Amino acid sequence: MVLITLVSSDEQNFPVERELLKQSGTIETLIVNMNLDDEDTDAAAMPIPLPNVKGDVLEKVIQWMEHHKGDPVKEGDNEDNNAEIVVPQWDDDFFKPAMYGSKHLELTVAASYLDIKNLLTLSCKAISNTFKGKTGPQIREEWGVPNEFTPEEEEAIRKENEWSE
Amino acid sequence: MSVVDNYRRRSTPFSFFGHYREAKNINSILPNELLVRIFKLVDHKSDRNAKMRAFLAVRLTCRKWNELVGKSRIRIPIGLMRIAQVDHSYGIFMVDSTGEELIAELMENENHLYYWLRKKPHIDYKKVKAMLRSIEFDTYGRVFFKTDQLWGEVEWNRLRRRSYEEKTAAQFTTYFLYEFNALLERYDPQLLLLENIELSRSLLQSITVILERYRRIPRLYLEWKSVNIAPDVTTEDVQRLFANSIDFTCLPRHFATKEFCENYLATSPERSIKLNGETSSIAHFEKVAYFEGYLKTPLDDLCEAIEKRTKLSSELEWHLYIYCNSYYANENIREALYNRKFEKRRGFGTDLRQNDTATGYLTVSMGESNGTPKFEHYLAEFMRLQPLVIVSGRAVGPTLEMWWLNCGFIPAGQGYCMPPKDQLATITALRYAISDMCNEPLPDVTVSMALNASLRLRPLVKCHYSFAKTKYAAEVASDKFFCVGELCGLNEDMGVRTCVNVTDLGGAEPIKNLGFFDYKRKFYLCDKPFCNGNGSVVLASLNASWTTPNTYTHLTNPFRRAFGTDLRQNRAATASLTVSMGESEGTPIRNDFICEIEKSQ
Repeated sequence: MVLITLVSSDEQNFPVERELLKQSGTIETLIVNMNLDDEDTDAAAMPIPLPNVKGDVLEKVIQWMEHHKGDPVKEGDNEDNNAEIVVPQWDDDFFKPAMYGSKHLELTVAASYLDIKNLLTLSCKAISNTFKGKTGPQIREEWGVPNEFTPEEEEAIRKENEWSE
Repeated sequence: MSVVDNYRRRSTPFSFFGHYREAKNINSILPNELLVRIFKLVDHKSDRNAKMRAFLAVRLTCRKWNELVGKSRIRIPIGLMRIAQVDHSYGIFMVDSTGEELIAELMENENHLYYWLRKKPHIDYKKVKAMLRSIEFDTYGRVFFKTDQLWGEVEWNRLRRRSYEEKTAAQFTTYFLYEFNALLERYDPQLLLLENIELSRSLLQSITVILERYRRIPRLYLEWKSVNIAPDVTTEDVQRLFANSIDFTCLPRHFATKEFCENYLATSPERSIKLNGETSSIAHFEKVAYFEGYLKTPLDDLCEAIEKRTKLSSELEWHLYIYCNSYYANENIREALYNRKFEKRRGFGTDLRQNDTATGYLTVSMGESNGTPKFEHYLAEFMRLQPLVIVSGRAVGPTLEMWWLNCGFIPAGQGYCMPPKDQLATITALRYAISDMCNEPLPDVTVSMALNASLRLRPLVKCHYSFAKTKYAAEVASDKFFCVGELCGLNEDMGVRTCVNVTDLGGAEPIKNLGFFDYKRKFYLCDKPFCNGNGSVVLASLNASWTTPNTYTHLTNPFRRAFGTDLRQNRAATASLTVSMGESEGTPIRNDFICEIEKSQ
């Protein structure tokens, strides 16, 4: 079993199975281009630095990849298709504790950076699900967004979108 | 906490984030592209209403989000977008979503935001934009544009005349294309219906180009009977237009060669899936219209007949659409109809008297809460509720698709229903769109007989009954109103046209029209083309298949169902209306027949 070491921005090392890393477009490209999975070369021992991902977030990413080991890797463009996306129960439980917190957002950013399409889609979907049935002020409160609108602005938006209320 | 415990805590999926639940500004962490991605996922296929509300909430969160949603071109899903040409000479087009509620129910059977978009073509764009901002909801969540100043017919005609003088056809066409483009930018229709259009090559190409700019629409339907395609339009032009539809599509007959259909369906996996039958749906829309809305068909028989005819019993659901186009149908009736659900296949064969325990869902309240119901007044109203369409949907996957139509009255407070013509066009389109028949000449829904005769299958409708509505029965020739037999050709305006006796072998032979008439609020059966004008009943031989006692049961069941119901509360029967089958004046020629009827009641 080939292990490849990932190094987080806070310099924690995470030895990860080569197979798992196929879910990450970014790392996979790096591995292939630099022959990092060739055990006969010195490159194999070379750790992969991930300066944009903190250790705790990377740990969660790896945990997610371990659970989804063997899942088909999404290909093509980054856009999610129109089919209804359902967040599976395990993933829902995985995201839920951190929902509305910075860690979930950092996980989403990491999924984007590492190009893990399935994780990104599910993570974004989990966030979008939190908007359902909420009002603007409720979303603001939950996601830490300051209220910038004047009453007049808010009224103008409501007017513009009157049909959707 | 030991080091090991700490490690374990960190290793479980639920513990990791526990210490990091501090809320941070989402905008400070997520880049714009991820925010837009999230916004685009604010979707719930089966609940457009929720999606729209969520969009407004997102826009109201902060300026940045409002801007991002605005710029990200997130299109609002709607059911039907219909393009029709109001006036061919002047090239005036109308884009609306008439029948949205209809199609929404058909496609999703969920609570949707019903959306009513009606644009008056003569208004200039600024006015249209202003109008778009003055939308209001009706009580059922549907939306329609407020067009106070333009609603009246007089005003409409005046403006139209002025528009004729000021605008040329080319200008109107340009306006239309501009509007169409703008609407597609904002809305994402599931079905685009083009009808009643003089489709020149340039117009067709323009529409094609506009469609190509946007994501493909699920369904595109060209109502070929009313669309005149210019001679210079080529097959390639049409094929390019229809290439914008990802789902099953019907083409104008002369463009829809077998090869084209096969190629079309083979060009995308989505289309091939359709061919495999895995996700396809079949729906039969059987219109059972009755003159003045008097339904007397035993619905059990109707179900059974359809079931036998289609031989798809276990895979089909039957739904009865009650079409309430009566001006007299009061709000309570419509409310009841609106909320009804025929969820069980045999449900609508239920005796209404036992509605509390029966499986049926035909809950019709006549709205009388106190005192004695005014049957003489309300009965006619009740009877005018027209069963229009029987719909069947084949099961898809683990769940059954619910196919039932809805009464299209709009707006709720104005007390009228959508005219039959509007719905018929939609229904015709839908029958193509959601059936798997590509350009097969579907039977005309307005004539049940044609449907049955053309399919050469078992009888669809076993019998119909009808009443004359007029108070002056003596002046009305009853043969206009009633037929009996296996199947009758029906017309909404003219009533029964003729009847045929469809045999088990599929043959059809004409049978004699029969008649009912109303005389001083008593209903008389008449089986002759001309009943006596003085109220006496003339009965002649019933040739067809009504020769056994069972037949009489068929004949009388509807009476019990309709008249024996306590219309006030829809509960236990009180048989408040006496239906006399005998004579009031004059002498019936065949007393024995009348007696049989009375016994069976």
